[in-house]
Amino acid sequence: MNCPSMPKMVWFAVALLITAATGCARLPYTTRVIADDVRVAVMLQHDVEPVSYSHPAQLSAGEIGAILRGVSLREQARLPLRWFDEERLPKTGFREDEVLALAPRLAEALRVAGTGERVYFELRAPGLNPRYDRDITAGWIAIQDSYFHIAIEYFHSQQPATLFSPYDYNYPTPRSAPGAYVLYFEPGRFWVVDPKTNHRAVEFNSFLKSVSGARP
Amino acid sequence: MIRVTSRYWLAVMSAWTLLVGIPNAGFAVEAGRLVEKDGKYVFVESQDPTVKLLMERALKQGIITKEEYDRAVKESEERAYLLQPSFKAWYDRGFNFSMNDNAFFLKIRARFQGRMTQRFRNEAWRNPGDAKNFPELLGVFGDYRANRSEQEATTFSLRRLRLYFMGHLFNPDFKYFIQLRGETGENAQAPGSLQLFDWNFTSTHVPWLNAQLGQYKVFFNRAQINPTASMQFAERAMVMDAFTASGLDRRDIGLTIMNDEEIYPVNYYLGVFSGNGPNFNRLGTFVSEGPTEGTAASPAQRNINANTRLDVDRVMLASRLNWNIIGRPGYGEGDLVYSETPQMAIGGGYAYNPAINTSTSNGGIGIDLANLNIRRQLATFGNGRQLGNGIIDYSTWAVDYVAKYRGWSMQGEYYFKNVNRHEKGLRLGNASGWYAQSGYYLIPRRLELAARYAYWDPDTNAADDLIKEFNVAASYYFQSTYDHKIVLEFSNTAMGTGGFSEGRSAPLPAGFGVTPLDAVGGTLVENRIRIQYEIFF
Repeated sequence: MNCPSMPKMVWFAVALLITAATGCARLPYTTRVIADDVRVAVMLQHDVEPVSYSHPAQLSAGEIGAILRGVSLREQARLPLRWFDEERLPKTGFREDEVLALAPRLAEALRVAGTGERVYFELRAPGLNPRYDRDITAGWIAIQDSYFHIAIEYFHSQQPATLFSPYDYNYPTPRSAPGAYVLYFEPGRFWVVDPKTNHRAVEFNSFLKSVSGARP
Repeated sequence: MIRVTSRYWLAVMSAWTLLVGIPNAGFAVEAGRLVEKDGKYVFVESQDPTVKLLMERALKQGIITKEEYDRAVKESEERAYLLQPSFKAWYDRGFNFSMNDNAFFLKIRARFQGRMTQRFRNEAWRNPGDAKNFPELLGVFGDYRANRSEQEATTFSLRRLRLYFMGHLFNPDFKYFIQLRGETGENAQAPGSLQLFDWNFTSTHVPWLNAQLGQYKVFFNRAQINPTASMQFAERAMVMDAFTASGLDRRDIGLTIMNDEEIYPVNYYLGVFSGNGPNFNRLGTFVSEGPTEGTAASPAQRNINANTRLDVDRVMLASRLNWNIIGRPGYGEGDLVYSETPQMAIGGGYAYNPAINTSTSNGGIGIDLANLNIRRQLATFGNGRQLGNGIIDYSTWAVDYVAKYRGWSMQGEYYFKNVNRHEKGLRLGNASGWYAQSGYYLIPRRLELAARYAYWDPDTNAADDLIKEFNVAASYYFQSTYDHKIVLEFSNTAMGTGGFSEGRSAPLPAGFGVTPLDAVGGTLVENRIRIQYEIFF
């Protein structure tokens, strides 16, 4: 088989890689860490999509807690199982202890977030192998006009707590790809489509007015 | 010359015994636990919520005292604890089994690499073929054979089949790792079989003084430390395999002390090993001796000669230093995690492996009976030019660099091996080589394109012997981990056949004829396409 001479191929490959490497970020990246401890991590992420969130936003921990308590979800099954998935009941998105740990940090983050930044959060608990695994619930929130957007990427997912396997030395253990979840919100009348993004979000102004127990 | 004896072993073994004997702090009992339900993990209180509510109300209304409440809660938790199974089992990157107190943990994993190869070779592969770098040794006498083939080949192979048992004993700081391997044989001297690959114990009780004992990959150079499961290409470059710490194989039996890579930015590794590759030590290699001590064996009375072990008090020393200048890039190739901040590290290693018997000192293989283990390792890893040169001391250096950022990665290494022949009359130089590779994720965490160039001079005294290799690969990672991927790779290699090799080049030893294996000469060129599917579960 004839093939191009090696130097040409090498230079082509090098040029391609350098060109590609000088490109822009293609995944959201952290701009500021609000909290990072054994229980919870909250950070601001620059969104790579062209967005203009209504940040900074003034929501109290109680108000955010009230919103989080209404979130439930179901893991999105692959086709054809998805057709039969409606029979499975959604799970509560956040336990009370998780709401209490998370809400104050989210409120703090929303107060300092910029218009191009979303708030990433991660709830951590010891995994089934407590030293080396974590039970992770993670996602992000953002506010656009009167819509509270929330996305879940991991829901009580077992993920490595170390960068590399503690047993298979130097084998990298990156976190697996985010899962796909279908989110719900109760009361459902506040779970509406944001016309700007075409995604479902909580119409939080109306919701908070209806909630008497939203603590400041 | 440094002479390392078995007394060093006694010292390091004593240190190991001390390390693993250090007790670890226990774990506090929690008020609940995570349990799996419908594939998810939820936290469940040890006490029934209804009982808890009634108890709290009773306490509030003064029906029971605080002491009674506390005692009831404690007894309830003890009852729940005693009633639960004493172990748990689940699937997460392997089958996991653990005792509830986490004193024992077992993870069982398996890895499959299936490969289809389409290969095109030039006429030089038909004649002369490769008799120097990757020769084949046949029979109990290890006769040299040139590796030849026709131009095209289409093959399917199970390149790597691995079975892993890993976990910890007593507490999470005393770890074990066992690996068995199987693969399809593609070489006349290495038929497919199931083999013990790794078996080692690691103590991580003291972060600055971890210790690993057993059989494992020597912590020496970046390319060898990185597992084959986390490569950007279907295979390592040939130069990576040729410059192992021992000069024979990337694995060995011994002890390494090091600090915790998860904690310290500068990492050291100091190891002492048998220096003869896996599943083997110096007592397994010998020279033939005549009936009278010190006399050379005579082929005419081969059956009544002696097998004599020489230099069996030697060990191999291996060291490495790694500095994570920015971040912590690790050893896995490519930036699969899409590093948000730049990652950069440099490292270097030095290894000294004395008194390796590349053949008995009578010039050519094929006239003496011997254990062929070391010779086959030399041939398998491309160091066949060193065969037939008697006793050799290897001093090998390696320096490496790696950088990663937002899906882009680059790494490279330079190697140099000083080949010190005890019998200076034979013709063989040193060896050197390098490689550089770079990759970029076209789709972050999913699809990567990578290229590599490798250069290897197997004998610095010889001309027309260079080995050059170019690879380009596209890899798709199904779940954004190294565990499940498919690789499409194109490779071009050019291997010079020049230079002198004992028993294969003219002049041949007496009794071996007059036509050497490299009579025709030329450059061995190969273009190759590999499609490789891998799953690690």
